[in-house]
Amino acid sequence: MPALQWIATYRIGDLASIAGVAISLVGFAVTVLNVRRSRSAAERAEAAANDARRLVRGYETITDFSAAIAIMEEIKRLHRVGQIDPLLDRYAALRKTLIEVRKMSPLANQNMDQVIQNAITTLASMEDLVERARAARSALNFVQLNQRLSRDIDELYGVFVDMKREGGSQP
Amino acid sequence: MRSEKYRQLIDRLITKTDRRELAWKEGVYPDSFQVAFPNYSLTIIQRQDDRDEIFLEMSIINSDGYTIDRFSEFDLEQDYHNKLYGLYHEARRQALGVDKALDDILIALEDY
Repeated sequence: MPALQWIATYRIGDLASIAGVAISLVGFAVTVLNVRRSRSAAERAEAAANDARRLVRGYETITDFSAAIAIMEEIKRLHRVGQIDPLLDRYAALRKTLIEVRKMSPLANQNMDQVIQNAITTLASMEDLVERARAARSALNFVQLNQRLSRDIDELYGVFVDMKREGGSQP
Repeated sequence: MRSEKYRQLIDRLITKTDRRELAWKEGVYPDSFQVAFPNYSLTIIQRQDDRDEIFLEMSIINSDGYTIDRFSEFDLEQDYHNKLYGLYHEARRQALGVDKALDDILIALEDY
């Protein structure tokens, strides 16, 4: 068997083993590289999905915030004409909207939480005051109630502007 | 145990109010003032009892707007009555901007 003789003479088997090891190492390196690439691609995809979710939630928060300020203006108008029955529904709706804004906002911070908490406290007190006045058929100082609401609208509007600015600078 | 926490609360509110680190605001109820924290707020109210005697009451409001606790000066010892009144008057001054008004008036009077 001259072929086998030639392989034995020139130690082709050893060379093949060395080549095999080298090929395995290169293959392993390529595999590691591909795994890394696919992991970073998956991470990038996840980050992009998170950014998109954040952006959508940011838009929803801005919409809810606009709705909250619109309801506050409506409440002021109802105060001016002294319509108590629709007022109670609007207080409750506004409180729910503000609670949702705070829970859902991706841009929440301490200042925003405090401003919303202050507005929620004002509304809860108004709701209680109006309910009691309605039950007792007593008069209410709507001018003072509107002063408190106007103060809270101004503060919420400041937070709203900050939120829009921050939301606009998000990726 | 609860009144000990109320005392701690009043002490810390006095310290922070004196340092002007709290944003006291006028409340909705007559003679009331409120301060908000990220998840809770406090209101301090001057009320009248059945004999028309004035007393102070403090309420804790949660993030949904519900009053979760309330205590009055009657739940506290005498020295804390005085502290609560001191806090109420300082909160009132800050919420109404009394010190700023006085400063502005004093500056204006210098020009006369």
